[in-house]
Order: sequence, then structure tokens, then C-alpha cells
Amino acid sequence: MTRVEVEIRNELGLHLRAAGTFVRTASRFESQIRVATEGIGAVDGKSILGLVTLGTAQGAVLEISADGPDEAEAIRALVELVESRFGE
Amino acid sequence: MAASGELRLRGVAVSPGIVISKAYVRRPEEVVVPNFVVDPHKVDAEVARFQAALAQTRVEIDATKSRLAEQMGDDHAKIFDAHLLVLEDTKAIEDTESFIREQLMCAEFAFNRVIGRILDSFDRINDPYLKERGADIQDVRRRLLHNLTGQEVKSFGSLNEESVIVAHDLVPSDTAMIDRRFVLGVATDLGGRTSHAAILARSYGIAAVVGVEGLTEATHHGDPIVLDGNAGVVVLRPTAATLQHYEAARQRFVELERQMLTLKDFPAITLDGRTIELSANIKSPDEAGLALAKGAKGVGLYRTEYFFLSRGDLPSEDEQVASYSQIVRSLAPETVIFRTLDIGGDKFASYLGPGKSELNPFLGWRGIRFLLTRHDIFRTQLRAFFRASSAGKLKIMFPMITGLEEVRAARALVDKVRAELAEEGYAYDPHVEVGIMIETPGAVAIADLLAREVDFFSIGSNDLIQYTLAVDRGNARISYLFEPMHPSILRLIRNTVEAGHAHDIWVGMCGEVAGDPLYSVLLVGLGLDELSISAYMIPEVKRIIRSITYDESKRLVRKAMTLSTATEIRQHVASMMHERFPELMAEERA
Repeated sequence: MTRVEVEIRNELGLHLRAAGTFVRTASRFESQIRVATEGIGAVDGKSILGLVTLGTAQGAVLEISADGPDEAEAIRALVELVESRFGE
Repeated sequence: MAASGELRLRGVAVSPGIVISKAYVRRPEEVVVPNFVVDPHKVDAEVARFQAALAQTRVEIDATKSRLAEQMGDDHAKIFDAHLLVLEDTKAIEDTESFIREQLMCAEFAFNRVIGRILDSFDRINDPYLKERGADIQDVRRRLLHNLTGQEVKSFGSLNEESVIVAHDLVPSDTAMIDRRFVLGVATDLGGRTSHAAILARSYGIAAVVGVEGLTEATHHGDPIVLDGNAGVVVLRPTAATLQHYEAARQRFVELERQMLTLKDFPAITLDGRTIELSANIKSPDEAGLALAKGAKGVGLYRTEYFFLSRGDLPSEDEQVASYSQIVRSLAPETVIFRTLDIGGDKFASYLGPGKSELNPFLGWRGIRFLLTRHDIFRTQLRAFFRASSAGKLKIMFPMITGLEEVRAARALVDKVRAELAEEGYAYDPHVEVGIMIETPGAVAIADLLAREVDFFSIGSNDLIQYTLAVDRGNARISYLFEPMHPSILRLIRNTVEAGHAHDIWVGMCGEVAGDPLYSVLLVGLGLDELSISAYMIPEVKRIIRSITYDESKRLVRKAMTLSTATEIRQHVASMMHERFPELMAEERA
């Protein structure tokens, strides 16, 4: 299993559209992806409804873990996505 | 129910304008959720019915999405991609199906239960914007339940004359159903600046006030209503005196807007003939239209970093050429000033290198410092700029300059790139101007030396203030120190302009200070040749410049320079501006 922590940097936090982009990216990988934040979660990283209920605002830290054959690639792609502020 | 006299309610002003009309009340529509038990033999059929409703809803959302994309642009339609993901959420579908199978309850009840649990967890979210996104999930739930029960979604079908829409809240599918010919304004009980009602209003260019507590309950369908999107006020059933007051205010506002729009094609020139290049700050090619619509004279700051930050890998040279050419072409014959990649500070992308591991990122590996150590990235971007220069007019500027070595190293690379392109047979404009951002006190101190080796200066006000006054504006305890009217800032601007003009180069300013109408006269008086600002602020700043003389602006600067504190300078400038431009300043207060 690979696990990282990454800070949410975009102004609006993990809102619906951002969560949507996250889900689409996560779904490209075979690995199981879990996401938690500050004691809440972990939710399925491929479920938009799970992600939005985390209510992750700007400055909060997301804990992303991936388990599976492509876990390293999955983590790398997701961290890049978060750090690029979901392309906003 | 509601009282019948005049009622004045306050909310949040999210889109300007004053409207006197009548209310079209949209009451929250609750779907009655059936809760029948399913015969164990018919469980498969019930699940299939759920699946069919999912498919039908998907088709509907797709249709709404394309309709909205046509009306309001792709950007607004993107929210429906997220709605589709909500609808197709594997976990919610699985949970609903197992609820049907295990509890033998109908699909409506099962789905409502699953989504209800998710909406409940929105209650503990504190962030107001994220909380508002519950409305999107409600929207998807409502659509699916309607399709399951066979009820029709009530649209704004009866909205057939000009009205102000009064609603508890608006959801994206509402915005797609509203006939925009009939909407003069929007007022809602809930919501903030980023609610769908606010977004809709701003994109339609109509007035809106949101977050008006108790509004729908107090409003009768057809009530006379005044909506003041400048001050954030809603008046229901106004008296004759109120109406008269607002009719006058409405006319003043319309006149002001008309004056500003008629200025669109005129230059920003003072009464005694000094022209200021008033250009726009933008960060993507699709903002070019807005800049032109607002009357910008070209683009004074094109932030290329957003192109890099909005993707997961480095854009190739050809991709950059395509993007830069597009923007240059759409602004021709005006000029676009491209700032080279300004990464670091508060902007990171993991694939680019600088990260938040630095203890002091604003004093760290950013701007030109980054580029000069990453020649691969720098060279590609410079090549792309020059190749795009054959499509129109552009200039190039480097961020975060502190010394002449940086300028020389960057210019050497520019020369190398030009030689390469010439050899490879690419066409490019040989007269592309190369300038620098002045955003450190160090650069101001040697502005005379720098001016000899560059074609222009552009003062980056935010960073210059941050570095000069040693203040992190994001730190709430000291953000009061972030003061554009500090005497040291005015002196640095003046010194930069004098050094530039002494060497016959032009000096501009880009950043928030440049776009604040309060400072417009002062900045003209300081001798700046160009102001590059948010497109939205251009009409207002242009009007101010066109109503003053260069002489009086210089007098204002001379007086300000005799004052010794930021407070005194601010007060002096503000009182002068209030006297000269009461209408603009009144709006600003509102």
C-alpha cells in the first residue's frame, strides 16, 4: 500500500467539480483508493458522494492511500491533480 | 403568511444593478416519496426499474448540459459532468440496490434513504461554499425521484413576463430552464457569492441579491419588488416614496453604465492629452473576449503559469505555440505581454520542481531564479513565444528580477533562441520587446542600471509591497501592514518611473493596486505609462482617467509626497476622490 498526505490548495476546497475530476482520475487506476481527512473517512476515492462529504476546505490535508498493482502511479497522478488545484 | 406592507430585507449583493419589477416566486418543491413494499418475486423488476430511471436521468442531464453549454458556455455546463458522476456513483447505486433487495422496499424509498444519509453528513461541514454543494446532490436526487415516480419536473414554464425570480435557492437545472428574456433579477433565501443563483446572475449580467433570510416566505407571487444588487437590499411591496427613491437610483445607475460602455472604444486619455495604456490581466485564451468587450488596450500581463498548473505534465513547445498564438491572434492588432513562467512562491506543480518543502517559498526558488536553473523549460517557453510572434504583436517579461546578472542571462538565452529559430527557418518578429517585472526593493534601487538593458518595466504591486514592507498579506495578524499608500511604496514607484523615463523606456504597473479606482488619479500622477488591470475594472478606471487632467494628478502626488504616514496619504487621496467622483465612490461603499 502507498500512502501520502497532500494539502488542498485551491481556493474553493474539494468542491463538487474538483471531486469529480478526482474521481475520474482515480477511476483510471485498478488500485483501490481511499481518502481521509483530519480524522474523517476513509471514503472510496472513486465515489464522488464519498469525497464531497469529507467537506475538505482550502488548507486541509487529504490522506490518500492506494492499494493495488498500479498504486504508485495512482498516487502520483492524484497528488499532481491536487497540487495543480484541480486545474482551476 | 406574509404581511402586506413594505418590507425591507438585507442580503449579500452578488451582481450589480437596480431592478423595479414584480416577484416570480419559485417555492421549494418537495417530491412525495412513495414507500411501498416490494413482493420478493418482483425484486429483480424493481431493481430494473431503478436502472431504467438512472438511464433516463442520465439522458436528461446530458440534454440539460448541452443546452446550457450553448446558452452560457462550456464552463457553466461543466457542473453537469459532476452531476453525472453523482448519478453514477457506484457506491450509491450498490447501496440502493441492496436496500431494495434486503429490505424489500421500493426504489424511490431506497434511493431517497441512501442520498438522505449523504446529505445528512453535509450538516457537519463548516465551509459555506462546500456546504452549498449539497444543492447539487439535491438536484440530482430530485431528478431521479421524478423519473421513478413519473412526476414531471415543474419548470419555470409560467414565467412569461419580465420578473425578479424569488426562490429559496436555485440549482443548476433551474438555471437551464429559466427563459432569460424574462429574468430581470434574482433574489434567494440562501447562498453566497459562489451559489448557482449568483453565477447565473453574473453570467446573464442581471442584478442579484442572495442570502436574504425569510425572503420567500414573506413574498407573494406577483408582489411588487425592488432589487438593489449594488447594496444587497430587497424591498417588497415598496411604498410610493421608496419607489421614487429607487427609480432615481436606477436611472443614475443606468446612466453611469451607459457612459462607461460608450467609453469602450475610446482611449484612456486625460483632459490635457496624456494617454495611459489601459490593458487587461488575463491567464487563459478564453478571457480575451472579456478583455476586448471591456475596452482593454491589449493584455498587459498574461500569466502563463496557469497553463502549466492546469495540467499534469509539461506542455510541449507546439502546445505552447498553439495556445500563445491563439491569444495573440484574438487580440491583434493590440499587444499581449507574456510573463514567463512564474512558479514558486504560492504556486506549485509537483512535476515542475518547486514545492512547499521550502521554509520560505516567497524568498526561495521562484520566478526567474527557477527558470535560469531550468533552461529546458525556459528555452522551450521562449521558443514558443517567438514562434507565436508571427501571429500578432507580443512582448516578453521576466518576473522576480533582483540583479543585472539575471537580466543578462535571460537575454542571452533570448538571443540564442532567436538564432536557433532563424537557423531552423521559423518566422518570428525580430522587434519583440523584452522587459522585466519590478517587484523587489532591490530592483528599484538599481532601476537606472536595469533600464539600460531592458525595453520596459512593469511594477508588480503585490510583491513589491510584500517585500518592501516585509508583510505576508495572508497572515491575518499583520495583514493591516499591507498598505499601498505607504510613503515607501509611493517613493519606490516614483523612483522606478523616473529611472525608466530617464532611459527612454516605458513603465507600467500590473496588479491589484493598479485596478483600484481609488488609486487611479495618484498612479497617473506618478507618471506611469501603462496600467494593466482586471478587465472588469477597465470601464471605471478609464472614466476616471478621462475626467482628470495630468496636471491635477501631479498636484495630488506632490501633496501626497509631503505627507509622512500611510493613514494621512490614504485620507487625503480618498477625500479628493470622494469630492471628484462621488458617484463612483458611493457605489464602492455599497
